[in-house]
Amino acid sequence: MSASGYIPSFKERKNLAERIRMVEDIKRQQPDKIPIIIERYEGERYLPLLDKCKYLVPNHITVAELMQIVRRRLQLHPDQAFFLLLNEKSIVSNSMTISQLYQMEQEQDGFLYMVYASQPTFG
Amino acid sequence: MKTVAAYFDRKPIENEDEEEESQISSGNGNNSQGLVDNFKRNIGNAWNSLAYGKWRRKEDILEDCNSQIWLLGRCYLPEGQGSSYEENCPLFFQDYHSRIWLTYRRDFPPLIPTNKTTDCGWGCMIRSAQMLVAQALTILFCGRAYRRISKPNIEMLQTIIKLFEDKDEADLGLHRLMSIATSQTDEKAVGQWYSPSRSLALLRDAINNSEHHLLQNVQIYLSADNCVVTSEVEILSCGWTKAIILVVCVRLGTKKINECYKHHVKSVLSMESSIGLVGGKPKHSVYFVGFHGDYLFDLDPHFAQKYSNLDENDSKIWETFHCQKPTRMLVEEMDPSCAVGFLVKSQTEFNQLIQQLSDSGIIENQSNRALKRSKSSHEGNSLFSVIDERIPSELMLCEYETPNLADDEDELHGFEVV
Repeated sequence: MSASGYIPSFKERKNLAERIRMVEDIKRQQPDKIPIIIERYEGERYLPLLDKCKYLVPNHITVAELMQIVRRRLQLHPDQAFFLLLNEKSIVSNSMTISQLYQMEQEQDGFLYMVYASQPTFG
Repeated sequence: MKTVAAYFDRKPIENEDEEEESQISSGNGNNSQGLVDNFKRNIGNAWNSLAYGKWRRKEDILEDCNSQIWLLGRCYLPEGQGSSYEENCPLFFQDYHSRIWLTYRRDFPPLIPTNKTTDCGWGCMIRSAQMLVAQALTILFCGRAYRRISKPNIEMLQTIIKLFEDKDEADLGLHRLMSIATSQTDEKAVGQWYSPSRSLALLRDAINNSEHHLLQNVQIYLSADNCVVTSEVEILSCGWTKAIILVVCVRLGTKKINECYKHHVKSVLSMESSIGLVGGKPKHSVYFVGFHGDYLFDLDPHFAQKYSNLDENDSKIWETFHCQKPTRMLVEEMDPSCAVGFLVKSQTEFNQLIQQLSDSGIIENQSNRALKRSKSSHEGNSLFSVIDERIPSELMLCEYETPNLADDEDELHGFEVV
């Protein structure tokens, strides 16, 4: 990234022990919510940044709903390409709930990590 | 409500879009200014022929004579004679050569509101998207079986090519697309680089605005978030009185294409209703039309040709809209961002496409269109999903637009509650 600002990722800002503690604390307080980290893909040049990266999401909402929520937060036009990626794959299972996704894809620290990206331009 | 302009005005974070631009400044002033402009134009042309000239085009060599060659749903077998695709697989070559090839052009009428007379160095994504639409129109009006060898200059194909001519009057031409883009943004539209989704949205809008007789019964359905909604497609087709160019923008990884999608990309190109993919290498857009082994065939717009008025009806000019040398790249060189295109002309074709995509695991199918739903629906390697209805977003708004929980922030370790 340019001088305008390299933004260290959540994992770079917090060490593993801190992250594990965060998840444990929050699960005690909000047992039916899923802790998710949503960050902008480092190579993304068109979508704005989200002001927060840590989200607590009700476990019954679907992937499609989560995508709508993030799209709305970023105030995207319906034509604006927008993808949520997890482990280098686009999340396409619309009807899957966040809790199902969490079962399969949560990381060692207990968070579910996603990045969002649009499409780059070509010349 | 924000205007379209407000959304697309966001500036890229870094701007490296103009590195290869040969800008031609305003030339309406005095004579010396005119000379300077001419000089600049000549330098620009020289640069463009150097950068995008014939010598850059790779040799057309066929090494693998044993495996099938696929081109937009058609399968060909090499014959084992000669080293080029033209010699070794003439039927494939005739098919490839018959597709409409749109490239960079120079010396066309200026793109208003600028004085630019070329798209060299910036227009490749627009060209690739135009080729996808041109292919859809070719199938609709000339048939998939059309070959130049039997009917080299049929009028219908020429009418389609004229839709993409580089002049203000052409309904799907660069000039029209730039005028739509300019009207939708306060930023300059001419000379920008474009993404697959944006360039196809411009073509969709151009078709909607057009009164051309070929464009009255065709519509583009553009999905920008991995999801096709069948009820929306039905509405757009006006009860299947219109053909639908179905375009799904996808992202197959972040930096590189994820290994797990390579097979899907090839499968898509082997399907009957495929009209190819708009994508490319990073920063270098092409229109993907087929594959052979691990190589994808493309029609590459990075070739600077001189604009000539098509009304002159010179056979040499028509020749410049067909590529003589198949170009290709390895699947793994592909940029992960692309747009997958299909042409469907009826409800039956649409249902068949969904069934076929579902059977091959390319889509996550939650629609009732297909008899059989995909077995491993949560496998997670699908390119996109198909649903029958979109969840109304107002409903989600009231349900999840939670009150501000700022007071709890400390207890929640700064979590944002959704």
